[in-house]
Amino acid sequence: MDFSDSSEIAEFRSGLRTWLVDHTITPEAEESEAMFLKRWHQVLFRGGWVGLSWPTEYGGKGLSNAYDVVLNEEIGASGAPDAPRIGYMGRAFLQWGTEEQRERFLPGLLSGDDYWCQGFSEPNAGSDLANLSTRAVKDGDRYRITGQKVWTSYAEYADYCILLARTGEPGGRHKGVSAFVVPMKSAGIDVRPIVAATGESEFCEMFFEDVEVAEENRIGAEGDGWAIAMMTVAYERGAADVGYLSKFGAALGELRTLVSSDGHVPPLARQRLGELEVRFRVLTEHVRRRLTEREQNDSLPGPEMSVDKILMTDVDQTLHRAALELLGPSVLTTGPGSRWLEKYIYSRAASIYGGSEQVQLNIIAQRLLGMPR
Amino acid sequence: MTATLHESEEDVALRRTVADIAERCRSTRAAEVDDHTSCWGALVRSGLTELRGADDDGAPLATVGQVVIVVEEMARAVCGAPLVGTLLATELQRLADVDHVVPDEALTVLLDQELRGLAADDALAWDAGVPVTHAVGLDGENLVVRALEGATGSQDLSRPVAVPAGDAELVGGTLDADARTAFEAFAHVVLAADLLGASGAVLESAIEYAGQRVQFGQPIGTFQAVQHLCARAHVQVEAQRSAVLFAAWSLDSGQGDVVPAIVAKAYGASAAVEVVEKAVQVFGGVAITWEFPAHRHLRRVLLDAEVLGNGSALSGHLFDVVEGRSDGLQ
Ligand SMILES: Cc1cc2nc3c(=O)[nH]c(=O)nc-3n(C[C@H](O)[C@H](O)[C@H](O)COP(=O)(O)OP(=O)(O)OC[C@H]3O[C@@H](n4cnc5c(N)ncnc54)[C@H](O)[C@@H]3O)c2cc1C
Repeated sequence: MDFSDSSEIAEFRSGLRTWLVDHTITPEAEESEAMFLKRWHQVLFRGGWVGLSWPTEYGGKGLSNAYDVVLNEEIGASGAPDAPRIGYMGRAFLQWGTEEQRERFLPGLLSGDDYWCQGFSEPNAGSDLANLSTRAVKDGDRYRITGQKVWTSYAEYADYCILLARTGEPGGRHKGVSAFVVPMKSAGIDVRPIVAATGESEFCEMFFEDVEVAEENRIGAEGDGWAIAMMTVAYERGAADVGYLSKFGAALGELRTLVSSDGHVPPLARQRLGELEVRFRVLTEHVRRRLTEREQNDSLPGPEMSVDKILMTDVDQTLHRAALELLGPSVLTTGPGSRWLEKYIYSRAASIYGGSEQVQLNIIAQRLLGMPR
Repeated sequence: MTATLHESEEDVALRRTVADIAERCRSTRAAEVDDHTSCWGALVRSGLTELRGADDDGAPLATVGQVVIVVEEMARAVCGAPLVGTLLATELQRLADVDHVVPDEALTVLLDQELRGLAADDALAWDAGVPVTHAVGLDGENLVVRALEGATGSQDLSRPVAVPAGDAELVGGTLDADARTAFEAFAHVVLAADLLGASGAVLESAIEYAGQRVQFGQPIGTFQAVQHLCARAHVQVEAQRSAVLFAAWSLDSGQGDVVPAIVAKAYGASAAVEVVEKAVQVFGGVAITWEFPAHRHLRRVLLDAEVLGNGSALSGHLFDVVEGRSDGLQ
């Protein structure tokens, strides 16, 4: 069993640490959070820090996924903006995509030049994703797509969407679902941002009216959509795959600094911060174990990632709830732009998106523990 | 289904050997008697009580990773053979550069009455089941040994405590601050493995039970409330396992980072108790009977959680370490 920071990793770590000190960025006036993170992604990419565990042919670095954890740890410790959330988007291409699709789409995804969104959920297909009804009808060498998506994060900025649509019979549940790459500038797509409870616009409604998509934009065969979606969400449940370790590390560091700024930490705060530190470190260690297993077994993520999602959500929600208490009522009495309150509200979404907490617990009980249905 | 980190062939064999001993403990134990002398004999014959003895160069005979395997498997049966106390006493002697301070006797450790740390006076010997006769403790930097009176009871039914009888005798070994930190780190990981084994095993049997026990015409395991209880507990067991594996690896890799050991014990202290409580809930009324083993697991994890600092104390300590306000010493 081995979690080692080999000498190569140690060298990588110290190189990255130095680089982060020299490459801080701050949001420009009027720059949205999404665009700021896109700019940061590009800066990181030019520094050579993105796509570490992705194949070199497509702009990655071909390293073991232990490097993704190091990236997360170091970004978190430095307090820089989050690591890019690309770890889960686009993995489908490695497994199901054609060579042509990989060459066409992956370099832009990794470099941050192209922004991607994920069009899975619909008004009547939330937890019950298999109830999705957006249709893709074959028409010669193309498909015509009609339907409605909702909660699509960052769709208003996106260049491409990974879209799930039904190519088989209506009501066919998991069967007859296919996955497509849809260029967001295609005719017939109407994107309407939804203002989130944080006050930011994070997600959108998307309306598709007879949108033409070339056959070569289908990922995998017709009917592979469900398996592609399940693999994508499995990656989305890993704290290193979505860059969340870095986010929590930075938040915890900032909170520690804020609470101890006058040099005196009340005993209760000391214990609370210590407990958060324990939780955060257990998550990090768990992620390292998971990625080591993935590497040792040469396996793709599966239902075990629901364990990771629960752990990740617990850290997210415990941390941000504790922050409100530790920072006191000033977080609530300030006007618009109370960042810690926004972060707290967003943490409440963590047990909803990417498969709700209850859905994860169903998966663990039935698929990992084999409990009867 | 769950992929796990590869264990070497040697480790797999080790786990099997210990699991056999634990299984015999489980299947032969009567509800009324806690006699673990045959378990102890089997552990001794397999050399498992000496895992942290010193080789010719003073290095331990086995890795922390191997110790963790042995401790976890025995804890699954809540076995009362004084394995953990012996391992800690042996580690303490090795770190203090002394060896078998009381030849041919089994030793455990002396803790203060609050169980927070090693002690010499006003101390009690923890994990002092048969055949333990002496315990090693610490007086300042000096290692001491004391003979014990017979074991008195403990709420951890299979793991009695004992009161020292004789005076504390110096044995020539000393423990400087670094060695003491190293001892505590080792002890935290061992306790975390004990918590993992005792909580993981009872959860597994609760899940099995939920598949068989029928109410309302169906196995209770089909009820989502029961499934979610088990799933939550499973997450806590997996997280404990990750923390224990990582901490063991950290100590074995010789980088001297004791933080993962503190994390493993601090997390395990609260998580293991919650896991066993959830298992008790799944069993229903039968878990509240003396005969049923669930309460033995509960008692074991409750006491383990307190040894060398409970979750709250260690969390505060961890904050100090991270903030650089302390050098890792308790
Ligand atoms: C911030 C945010 C960003 C998002 N981004 C995207 C995105 O980019 N792309 C995308 O496709 N989707 C996205 N989503 C949508 C997200 O995946 C869905 O919200 C989620 O799947 C839950 O669906 P729902 O909101 O319809 O809730 P519902 O499915 O209606 O669930 C409501 C409640 O019922 C519970 N419930 C439902 N079914 C069960 C069951 N079988 N057992 C027990 N309890 C159950 C749920 O746990 C929940 O508590 C995002 C959501 C949020 C909040």
